[in-house]
Formats: sequence, C-alpha cells, structure tokens
Amino acid sequence: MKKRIIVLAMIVIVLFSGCENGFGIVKQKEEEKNSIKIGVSIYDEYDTFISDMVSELKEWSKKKEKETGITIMIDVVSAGQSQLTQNDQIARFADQGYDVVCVNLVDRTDATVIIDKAKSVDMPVVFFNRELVEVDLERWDKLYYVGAIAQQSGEMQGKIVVDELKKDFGAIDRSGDGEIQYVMLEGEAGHQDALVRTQSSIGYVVEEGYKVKKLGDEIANWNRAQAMTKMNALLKKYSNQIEVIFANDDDMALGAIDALEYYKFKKWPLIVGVNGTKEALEMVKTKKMAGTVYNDFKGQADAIMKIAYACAMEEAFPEDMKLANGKYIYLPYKIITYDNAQQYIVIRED
Amino acid sequence: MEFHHQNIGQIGKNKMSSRLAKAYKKRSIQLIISISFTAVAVVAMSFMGIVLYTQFADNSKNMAIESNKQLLDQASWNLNTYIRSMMSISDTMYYSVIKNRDLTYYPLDTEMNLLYESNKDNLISIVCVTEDGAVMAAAPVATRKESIDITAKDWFIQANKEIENLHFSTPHVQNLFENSNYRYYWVVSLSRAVELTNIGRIRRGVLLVDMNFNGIEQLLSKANEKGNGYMYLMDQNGEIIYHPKQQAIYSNLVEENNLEAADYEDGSHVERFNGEERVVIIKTVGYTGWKLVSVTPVKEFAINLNQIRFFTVMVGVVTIVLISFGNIFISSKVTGPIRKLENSIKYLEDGNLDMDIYIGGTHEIRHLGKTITSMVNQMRKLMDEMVTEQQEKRKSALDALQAQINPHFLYNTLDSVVWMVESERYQEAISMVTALASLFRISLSKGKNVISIRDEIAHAKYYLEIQKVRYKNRFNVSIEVDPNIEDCCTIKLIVQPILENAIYYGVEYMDGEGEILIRGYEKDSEIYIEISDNGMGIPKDTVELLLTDDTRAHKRGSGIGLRNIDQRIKLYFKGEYGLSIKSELDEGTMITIHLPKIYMKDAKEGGKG
Amino acid sequence: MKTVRSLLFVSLLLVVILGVFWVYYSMMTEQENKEIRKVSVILYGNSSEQWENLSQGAERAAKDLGAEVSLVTMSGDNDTSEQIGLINREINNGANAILIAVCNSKELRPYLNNLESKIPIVMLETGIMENAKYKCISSDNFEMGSLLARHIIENEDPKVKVAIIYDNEQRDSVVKRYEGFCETFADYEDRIVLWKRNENEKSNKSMLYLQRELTEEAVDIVVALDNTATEGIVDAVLNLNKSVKIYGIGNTDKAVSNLDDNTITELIYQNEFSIGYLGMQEVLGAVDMSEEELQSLIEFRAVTKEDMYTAENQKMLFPFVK
Repeated sequence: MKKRIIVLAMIVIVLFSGCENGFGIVKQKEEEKNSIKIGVSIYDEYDTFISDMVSELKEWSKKKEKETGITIMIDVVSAGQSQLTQNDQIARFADQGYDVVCVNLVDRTDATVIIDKAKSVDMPVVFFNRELVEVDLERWDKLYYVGAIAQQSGEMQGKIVVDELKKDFGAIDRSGDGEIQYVMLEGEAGHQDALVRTQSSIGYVVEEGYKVKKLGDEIANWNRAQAMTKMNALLKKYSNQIEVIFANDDDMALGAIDALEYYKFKKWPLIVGVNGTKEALEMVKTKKMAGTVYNDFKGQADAIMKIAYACAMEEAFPEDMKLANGKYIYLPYKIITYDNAQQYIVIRED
Repeated sequence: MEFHHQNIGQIGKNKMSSRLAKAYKKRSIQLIISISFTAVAVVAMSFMGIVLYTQFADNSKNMAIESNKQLLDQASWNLNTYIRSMMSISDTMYYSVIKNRDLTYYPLDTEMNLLYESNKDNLISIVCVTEDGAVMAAAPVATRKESIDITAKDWFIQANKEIENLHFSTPHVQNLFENSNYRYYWVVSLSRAVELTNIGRIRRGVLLVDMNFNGIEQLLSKANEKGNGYMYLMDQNGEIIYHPKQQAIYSNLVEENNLEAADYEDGSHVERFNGEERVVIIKTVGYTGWKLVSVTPVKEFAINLNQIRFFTVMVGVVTIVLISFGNIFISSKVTGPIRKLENSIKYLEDGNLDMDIYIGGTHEIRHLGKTITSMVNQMRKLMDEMVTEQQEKRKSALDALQAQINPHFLYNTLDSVVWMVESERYQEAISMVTALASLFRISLSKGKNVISIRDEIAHAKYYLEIQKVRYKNRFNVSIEVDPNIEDCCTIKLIVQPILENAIYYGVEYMDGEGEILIRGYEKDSEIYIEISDNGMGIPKDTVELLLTDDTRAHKRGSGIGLRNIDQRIKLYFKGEYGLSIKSELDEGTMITIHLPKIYMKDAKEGGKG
Repeated sequence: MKTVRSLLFVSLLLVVILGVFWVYYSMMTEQENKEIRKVSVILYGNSSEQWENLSQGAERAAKDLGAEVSLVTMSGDNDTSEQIGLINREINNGANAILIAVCNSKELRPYLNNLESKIPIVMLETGIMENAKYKCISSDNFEMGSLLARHIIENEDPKVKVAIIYDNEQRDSVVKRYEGFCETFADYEDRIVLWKRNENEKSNKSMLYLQRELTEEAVDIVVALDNTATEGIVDAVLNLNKSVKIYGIGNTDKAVSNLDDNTITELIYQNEFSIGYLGMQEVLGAVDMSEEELQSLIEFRAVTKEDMYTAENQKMLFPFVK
C-alpha cells in the first residue's frame, strides 16, 4: 500500500518537472536568430550630421538584410536633448529585449544609468559621436565607442586657415596689424568636441607661428539659427574687424553665413566649419566657406553597424576591424577645400 | 455474506440499485459524517473566503486610490517646482536685470544669454519686447520671422491685461523666430508686463519666457508610467494641456471628460463616462489655476483582483477537496470501529457465537462491544446449559427407557416363574406373571413420562408383589397415600427404584424385621412421597455421592440411580423439587420425593426425551 | 477491497491537485502569451520620416491594445517585388496582423487578393482599387484633390497655367486625388499640363525630373499630389530659384516648414495619426467599421501660411513626437 503511494508520488514529481522542461524548450526555440532588433537613440533629431548618420545606419541595415536574409529591425528615437528621456528610451529597449543599442549620448558625463541598465540585461552598447569618459567605458566589456578624434578635426580646421594664410596673408588680415582677429562659434557648453576643437584649431594656427586675437566667443549649441543670432550680435559689434570665423561645426558655420547674408556683407571673413554636410560642401564649392573638415559619417555608420550586428548575432567582429583597447574605433577626418569639395559631394551621395 | 440479510421483498429488484441501497445503508454513518463535515467546511471556507476577499478587494481599491492620490500629489509637487523655477527665471530677468537698467546704454543680451544657458534644458527662449511688439532682446535665437505681429499674440495681450500677474498660456507652437532644420517647439508661454527704461523714460514692455513643453511632458509621462489609470493636466477652463493620449484626442479619436472635470472641486469623485465608471481625483496647481486630473477606471481594480479571485477560488477548491478527503479519512477512522462492531454482530446473527466481538475505538464503542460480548457469553452459557439439559434429559429418558426393561429383574422374575411352574405352584406363577405384566404396562405408560401418582403407587405395588414372593416376607411394606394427591402428576419410575434400593441395601438382611413405609401426603400445596426403611442406613459420605455421582456402577437393581430420579424430577419440575435423603446407620433411611402439586389434567406434556 | 479503495482515493486526490495546478499554470502563461500581438506596419518609401505621424498613431493604438509594432520600410520607393517579399517575410516571422501602405496598387492587387494567410490585413492611405479583399483606411482622396482645385479656382487668377505632377500614379490614392482635382477643375481643363517622367528618368529622384520640367515649361502653379512630389518640387524650385506657387498635399516637417516660409502656398494635409491609429484598431479587431465610416473619421485640411498657427491647425501640423 505504502509502496504504491510512493510510486504515485514519484510519477507526479516527474510529470511536474516534465512540464517545466516543456516550457523551457518552448522558450529556447524562440531564440534562434532570424531577426535582430537594434535600438538607436540620438541626442537631437535636428542635428544635420546625426541625421546623415542615421540615414546611413538604415541603409546599411537594408543592404545587410538583403545580403543575409536576416531581418534587421532598427528603431531610431530622438532624445530631444534630454538625458532623462534617453535613459528611458534605453530602458525601454532593454525591457523589450533589443539585441544591441547604439547611443548618441545627450550628456556625455551622465552615462551611468544607461550602462547599468544595459549591463543588467546583457545588451551591448555602441556609443557614437558624443564621447564618454574612458572610465565609464571600462565598466563593462560590451561597451564600444565609434567616433572621430576631435583633436584632429580642430587641427585640420587650423590647417585650412593656415594654408589660406600662407597663400595670401594680406588678403585675410584686413586690418593689416599682423594679427588675425577671429571669432569662435562654439557647440554646447562642456561638449567634448566643442572644447577640443575650439582649443586645437586656434592652437594649430598659433603653433604655425601666427598671431591671433579673439574678438568674440559665443555658444551656439550646434544650432544654425542660434549661430545666426550670435553672429548678428558679433557683426553688430565688430563688423569688418572679424577676419576669420571658426565654427565648431557646419550648421553653425552656415548660421554665420546666414548672418553675413542678412547684413549683406560684401567682404566676408574666412569661414571654417566641421562635418562636411551637404550644404557646407556646396558653400565650400562656391567659396563662401574656406573649407570644412569631412566627418566620415559613412565610415562611422559602417563601423557602428558592423559592431552592432556582430554583437546582436553573437559573432566575432570582422577581421579587418581593429578596436583600440578593444573598445574604440576612430575614423579619420579629411580636409575639404575648394579643390576636393566636388569629389566629396559625390562621395556623400553614394 | 452480503445477500444474507436481504429482505424477501428485495430479491426481485435490480442488482445495482439494491447494491447501491445496500451501500447507502452500509455507509450511512460514514456518509453522514463525511457529508456534514464537508458541508461545514465548505460553508466555513466560503464564508471566510467571501468575507476576506471583499475586505481585501475594498482594501486594495482604497489603497489604489490612495496611491493614485499620492502619485498625483507627487506630480503636482513636481509641476509646482517646475513652474516656480520658470517663474523665478522671469523674476530674475526682470528684477535683477531689466528693472534698474537703462536699456539704451546697457543691453540685456549678456544676462539673457546667461539665464538661457543655465536653464536651457527647460527653456526655449527668453524674449523682451516693447509695447509696439519690437524685440528688444532675445536668447538664444533672435532672428525674428518676418511678418509676425507680436502685439496680436495671446501672451502679449494677456500680459498687458493684468500687469501685476504672470500669465501662463496653454501649449502652442512657438512662432517667433527662424528655425533651422525644420525645427518647431511646443512651448508654454510665461509672460509679464515689465517697465523698460530708456534714457530715463519708462515704457511698457512684455517679458516672455517660453518654457519647453517637453519639461512638463516628461514630468507627467513619468507619473503616468506607474500605477493603474493615468494622469492629465488641464487649465482652469478645462482645455487640455497634457494628456497621455493627446494626439488621439486632438484627432477626435478618443474622448476625455475634461470639460466636466473642470467643474469638479479638488479631491476625489466618481463619475460615469462613456459607460465606464471611473475614480477621478483633482488637484489644482497653484498660481496657474491648472488642474491635475488623475483618472482610474474602476474596472482596472477589478482586473487586478481577477487574479486574486481566481487564486482564492483555487485555494478554496483545493482546500475543500483536501478537507473532503481528510473527512473521509477521519470519518472512516471514527466509524471504523462501529463498522467492525457491526461486522462482528453480523457473524453473530449468522450463528457464530464463537467469534470474538470487536472491542476498540472510542470508549462508548468499547463499552458497547464489551456489553455485547458479555451478552453473547451469557447467551452462550445459557445455550450450553440448554444443550446440557437436553442432553441430560435425553440421557435420563434413555436411562428410564432402559430401566423400563431391566434385564436382571426380568431374568430373576422369570426364573422365579419358571421355578414356580416347575414346582407346580401355579397360582403363584400366575400372580407373578400378571403382576409383571401390570408392572411393565405402567412402566411403559404408553410412552408417557408423566403419570398419576395413583399409577406410580400401583406400579410400586406390583413390584412389591413380585419381590414379596421372591423375598418371602423378609420385609413388610405399608403404603399410606393421601387420596387427594392420587390424581396429581409425577414422573414415572421414581418410587420403584427407591423401593428397590430400600430392599437391596436396606432391609434385605434384616430377617423379617424389615419395614418399609411409603407415605404420600400433601404439605403446603406441595406433594411429598416418603419412602422410609429401618435398614442398615447409608454412610454419610455415600449419601452425598448418591445424588451427585452417576458413575457408580449399579451392582444390583434397576440401574436407575437416585441421582437419575432426582435429575428427572428436577428436569421436569424445576430445581426446587427432587429427592432428599436422610439416613442413619443401623437406624434406617428415609428418602423423600418432593413434587409440585399439579393435577394430571393440568399437566403439560414436555417434549419427548 | 480496502487497499484498492484507498489507492483509488489517493490517486483521485492527486489527479485533482494536478488538475488544479495545471489549470493555474496554463492560465498564468496564457495570460502572458495572449497579451502581446505583433503587428507589422509595411510602408512604401525608404524613409520613415514621412510616416512619422502615421507610425505615432499606430504605436499609440498598439500600446493601448497591448500589441507590438514593427515598422518596415523599403530600400527603394516602388519595388513591388520587394514589398511582396517583405510581406511574406513578416508573415513568416509570425506577424499577427499587417498594416500596409502599398507601393503599387495595381501590381499588389493580385497578390493581396489571393493571399492565403488568415491574419488580418488592413491597407493604409492607398488601396488596391476595386474589389479589394481588405479594408483601406484613408481620407477621402478624391475630395482632397477636389479641395485643392477649388482653392486654386477661388484664390488664383483664372488665367493661370497649372502643372500637375503626375508621379507615383501607380498608387490609387494619387489617382483618386488626381481625378478629384480634374473634376473640379473641369472648366479650366485646357490650362492643365501634366508633368510626367520620361522613360530614362524612371529611377531618378523626383527633384531632378521636376527641375527639368520647370526649366522646360513656364507655369504659374504646380500641383503636387503626394508627399514625395511636394518635397521634390520644393527642392526643385529652391534650387532653380523659380517663383512658382506650389499647391501640395503632404505632411512632413519639411513641407510644413516650407509652408511657413511661403515656398508652398497651400498645403493639404491629412491626419495621418488617425490613419495609423484607426488602422491599428481595425486590424486588431478593436473596432469594425465600414470604409466610409473610417474615412469620415480621418480629417484633412487645407492650410496656408496665415492660418497654420491657429490652435486647431497647430495640433495637426506639429504633432508631439515622442
């Protein structure tokens, strides 16, 4: 009698564990990868350069989809310049089981929440364009950064100006005092690229032995309209004294141009920007801008997607990709002047 | 065994139903106990479950409302803080910058930029305009759109209407400045009338702080993430400022009861909207007159409770099932002894008196068992007695039967007859044979056990006649029987054997001086027959044995011992009657037969043998 | 007997307990599984910007109904085979419902009408012409075209020359708008020219071929019947610095911005948020209305620079983008 009860009890236990296993197996099946989800959060949807990057990311995905037949769902959201919003977006991606996220940080000093959340659900993160501090990046081995070396872009800006100065110093130094009077249009306060570019562009010129004098230095938040406003104010104040305009990026350079056109300036100062957006290239072609520094958005997008894809598919990175410190990919900038502007216009369209 | 007790009437019925009825009857106690236990358990559990559940439901509903209230308070506090900080920006701009400055000489741009930069997360613009609608200063963007008439703007008009107050507009798209990249901003305009000093002259102006609507949106959408139900913000007229389904409401796809809610007082209300019952909590945000509204559909509580309800029911069902089984187990334990007892009794009914009655279970059942056991034992004893009695009767009867034809007596008597005939004492021979015949006739008495005393005495007389001849007057017999008792009953063959004993053991060797007296009389309505002799007497220890020991071999005589006579009398007439012996050595013996006085005509014939 | 009975009891007990647990278990997992349905929203065109409002509407409805949305765009604008491939792919990947804006009404009709799948499908914005097996949710395209024509008649000089960009006519939304326009404009038929692509321009961007048309022909008004046409003509006009009035149908931030700076004279926009929202509700079975009813719920409006900032128009033209 007792024996029978024991036998029955054992059957029950076996049945139960069978149930558990059954559920387990069902869950396992769903994890065979035939589709991956990539989340992308950008700091601001209106930033031209970032918009170009996003288009590239999407195109890369479409191409890859056709190539491999694996569905790539790429979900792009804008954080509207709010780090809190971005944190929520990443949290949502994490909760919905996205395979990998690409983050264009709003506040580069405030990556903790995102890193913690991503780590807790084992979701790799590819940061891009807005660089976080190395200490943060070291917190987990599935964090990566793709960008460019800001120092280089600033120096290239400096080089463009120096080359022009070398060609014809007098034409630029309108005041004839041997000093170059310039104004600087800066990106956001505290932004890595803004700080470095501001410093290295002028630094390069100075190192080449030229004397410079800063007339004005305004923050325009990468925003064309804001740059225009600031430029207006500067023009009102300094008018023809301004000999060179350094803009941390093309959007602000274009804003400066807007101001100059608005005031119908006849003789324009030298204008340099960074990024190589479509309009800026046109400006370089028409010589309104002395030059710009091409930010290889295609290369960066390619690198971002390669890393993201590999992470999502849990494969190794392609052999030709070399990550510095196992985490960083920096793509080089390129100087764009009148001579190669057209060439890059074409490259962009490709 | 099961069909053993079927009533005759049920034999014709269906086997199954009779089986069920049997089972029902058999299970009666157990079933009743199980069912009543289970019923009690069910009722108790249901009652408890319902009470607890209702309490819980009520409680959780109140808790949900309470938590929504708290969320509302929190959101309201946050919103307040936000609005206050915006207001303080406007205040700072005005009181610390604009008010005491001659704007002709000291433009506002630097401070305005500073204020903007330090608050740019929440601000879109700070603008200062003159009474004509010209822009004095603006941060961060100052390039006005062409053909914008600022004086027609609502915020401008409102600011000028009430110059002592700050005005908050409803959200709208900023339409003042050129924007790049197709940007547009939803803003809430905070405007106030200001005094602008130009070269000592004071003119009216308006200071505008355009708050990024995103800030409010974030605050409230965070609050909407938690809790059940949602929260929205409206102005004092009921126009929606923020609603989680704002776009859908604007597209007329979703309805909200905001216009009615605008009339509610602060606090919680229950309303019916679109067929749904909801709990609505209102909180007014200070200064602006805006109202935060928290809405929780009542059925949201219900959904959360569904799980609990289901769980409760499940637990209840499982418990009831467990209790039922437990009940069955307990009731079987309780009624088991009763059943075992009943089974034992069944064996009893079948006649197995040897079975041990089950003794066990509770003390009442033990008591029953013990009582039944003792009853059964008594019964057994009685039955045994009865059997023994019957056996005795049979034996006695057989003995008597045997005695009826005593070989020794017969041989001797016939021998005597032969001798007499050989001696030509024919008359004596005839008397002897006749007496023998009569003796035997009475002995047989047509097989009856009970005869009249007359007949019994007659029998004794015939015997004596015969013995007289044989013993040639070696003794004398006198018979004194009261005629009144002659018609009464007696067992046959009780006097003669005693006479026989008296002759053989009493007076045989007394040489003519032996005297035997047979006396029959009535005393106290009972009959006594005494047979006394003056013979040798019987030793005391032998007297005792005479009535008790039936293993004595009879050397002589009819073979019916005194014991046999005593027993037969007792068997037929009950134990108080029978023989008693009185004897003294060398003096004589008296044996008394004690019988009840029953007339022959009243006698019942007992069973044969 | 006794042991058999006891065994019966015990096994019955176990069966009951097992049964209860199993029911509980399956109820729990059922609840989890039942909730999330996957809806694929397959849209024509390779950019998701033009669909911003629609996808917002779809996502909002999906959130309310507990469904998940996958947005699928194409790599080109008009590749029928690609779109069919995408539909198949989504069905195979386990989509529970499909919302689709077809890139080519005629070519997708046989495919959609013969589709064997049991999942609900609803078409958005443009249908597949007559006898469609599935509902189409859109605004009244015919009326939109007609409204455009009416306003031109009201506001413009009767002698103006009007060019209609006849592009993307493979979508029946465009066709209907065109028909609506032509009907109302019937009296001035002779003043209409149609700008169509040449053979060699088939894969060009609309801006390029429109630039060509602009230079070739002098017109006063250009009518654009859908978003791509509107954006294309705006680019063309700005590039060539021409001064033509643009009457367009469209919805993007870009179009709205161009309306603001008067590049576009009048813009007719439809409430794509509603299209997305109602589409999602229909395909998930939350509502079941006829095409006419649905159409009546989807607003479209004509706005100009003057009235684009009214409270009503603002809400439509400048949606809250999350």
